Amino acid sequence: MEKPSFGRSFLIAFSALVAAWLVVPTLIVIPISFTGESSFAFPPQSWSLDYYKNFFSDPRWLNSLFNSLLIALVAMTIATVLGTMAAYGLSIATFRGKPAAHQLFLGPLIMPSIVVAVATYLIFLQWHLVGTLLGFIVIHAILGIPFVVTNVTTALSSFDYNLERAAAILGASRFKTFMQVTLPIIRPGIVAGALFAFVISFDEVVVSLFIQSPMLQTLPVRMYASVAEEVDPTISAASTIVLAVSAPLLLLANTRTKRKTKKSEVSHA
Amino acid sequence: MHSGARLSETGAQIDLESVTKVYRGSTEETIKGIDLSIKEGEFMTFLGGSGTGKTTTLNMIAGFETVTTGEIHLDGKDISRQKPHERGLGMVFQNYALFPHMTVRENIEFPLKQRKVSPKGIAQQVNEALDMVDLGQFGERLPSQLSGGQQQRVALARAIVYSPRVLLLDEPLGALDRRLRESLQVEISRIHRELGLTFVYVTHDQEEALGMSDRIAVFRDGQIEQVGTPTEVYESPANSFVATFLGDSNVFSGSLKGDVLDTGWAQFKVDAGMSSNQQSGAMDLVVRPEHMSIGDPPAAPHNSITGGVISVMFQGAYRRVSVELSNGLVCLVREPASVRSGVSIGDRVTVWWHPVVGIAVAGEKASA
Repeated sequence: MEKPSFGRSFLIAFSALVAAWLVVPTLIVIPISFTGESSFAFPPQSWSLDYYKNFFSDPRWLNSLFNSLLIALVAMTIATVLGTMAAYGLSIATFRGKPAAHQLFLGPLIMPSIVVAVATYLIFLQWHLVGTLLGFIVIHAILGIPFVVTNVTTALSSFDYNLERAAAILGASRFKTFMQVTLPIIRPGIVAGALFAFVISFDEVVVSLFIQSPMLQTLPVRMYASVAEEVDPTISAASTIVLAVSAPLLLLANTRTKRKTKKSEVSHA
Repeated sequence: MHSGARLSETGAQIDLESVTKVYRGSTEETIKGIDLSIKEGEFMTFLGGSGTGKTTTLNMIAGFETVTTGEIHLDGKDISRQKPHERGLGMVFQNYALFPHMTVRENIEFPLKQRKVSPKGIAQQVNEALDMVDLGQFGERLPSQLSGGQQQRVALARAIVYSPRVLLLDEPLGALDRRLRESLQVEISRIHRELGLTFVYVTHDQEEALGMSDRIAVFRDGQIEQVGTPTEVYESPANSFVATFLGDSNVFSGSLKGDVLDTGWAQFKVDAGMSSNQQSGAMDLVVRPEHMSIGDPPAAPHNSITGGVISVMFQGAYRRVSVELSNGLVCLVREPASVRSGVSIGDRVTVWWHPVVGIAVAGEKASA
């Protein structure tokens, strides 16, 4: 092997530094969650699983985790179905103002979250959705839709619509064509979008803070309340749990998108 | 022997009646009134350049495009308002359109499953179709693991496995190299013969059209210029467009007086049988390059012109000689390589032909 030049070594070192700077501060919650002390001192002087025990024995933490998982699952399902339909409809339709319609679906991404939060709060007050499971599900689904639309649109951009014509002439109705031909081929994009939608809901804080009630809190909301009220390292255990759920899903979503792109390159060759 | 006999069924008749197509947002007719009757079991080719409406017409038969006015009949029944999946036709696409997530076998099973054929029937029919295209051992492969020619044969098998009575083929060989094109031409002709289906074949390739078709419809500008057997359209083109589109042609425009065409710079004798078909007036005289000869004309009646040789191209069995006339027109002569005329660039030569080989057609101005 050729000996790496100084410039190349420097580049590698610098990149590693940037990567560490991006990730390490986040990862610091992991060792802290295993501390034996009753403070956030880093590095911990002794080790224990006390705060995980705390987390899993305190109904406030447990309920919030359960709420978050339930809301994220339902919101993901709704966002995936609606987002896929929207992306598919937008890609096959021809009408004036189609680009504008496409932008509209990305709206929740563009709007500042605090504005979305205030607007949602005001509307949900009138509709009596504040502090309800339905309220959380509705707004989290809306926040997840742009990610599904984006991923599915990308998958559809390399989809050959002649396949739909072929299916039609072979005797498949529009619905069967979509289910048996289009859907399986764009599935990687849909799965990536769904994973994003799940994580978006699972991590969501700003809007959730506005529409929470003491009776119904998601995990991030509970964590925020915990930091505001007390100094309790249980929150580092909670953070580690959120990290353990979200990070693998996002990594999975990313690799799925990559693999899909590679595949489409092959089929174009 | 191929065991495809069971798949066969008689073809259906297709009638297009005053079919027009105007695309949304356009005021111009893309298809300007087509009347065409395709017989049971016929191999009909739509021949034309790009944008002439041949593919649009095929797509209207398939149901991918709506008919603006007029009707399309399948065995007398109006199908022009039916959805593609209700029409029961078969189709082969230029880019194969195989489902990439299904194996070869699953691709061929697809139309049978839509028709709720029993599993036993499916297995039997798929095997027959695979044998028909000589791909028996490729059933478990994915389309991406096959060559272009093999993929198109899978597409053929998929299109015939459910015994449609009509097979539509949209430039099926367009993406293949020359050698494969030729072998698939033979295969497609064989399948047509064995199954007896009605084939509607779209191509821009005149050799494909002449070699495979029972009849050819020559498309131009949203209309059909001529319908006829390959021999008819080649030997008796309806006009100089058809004459020049199918094969090389020399076209001399002029006006007909009796059996003499006056081009303004020369006078050519026209075969009496030919000239009587045409009214007097603007007329084109079409002479195929292979009917022209270079050298001293015989004593018998003939037409001749003189000019300078500007190119000689050896093409194996033939030599293509371009002769520029004094008025700037270039005349193309194709002489068999066995004729040792010894012409070379710069020679002044006489080109002659018998009046009987000239084809008199209505002049472009008159027919437009």
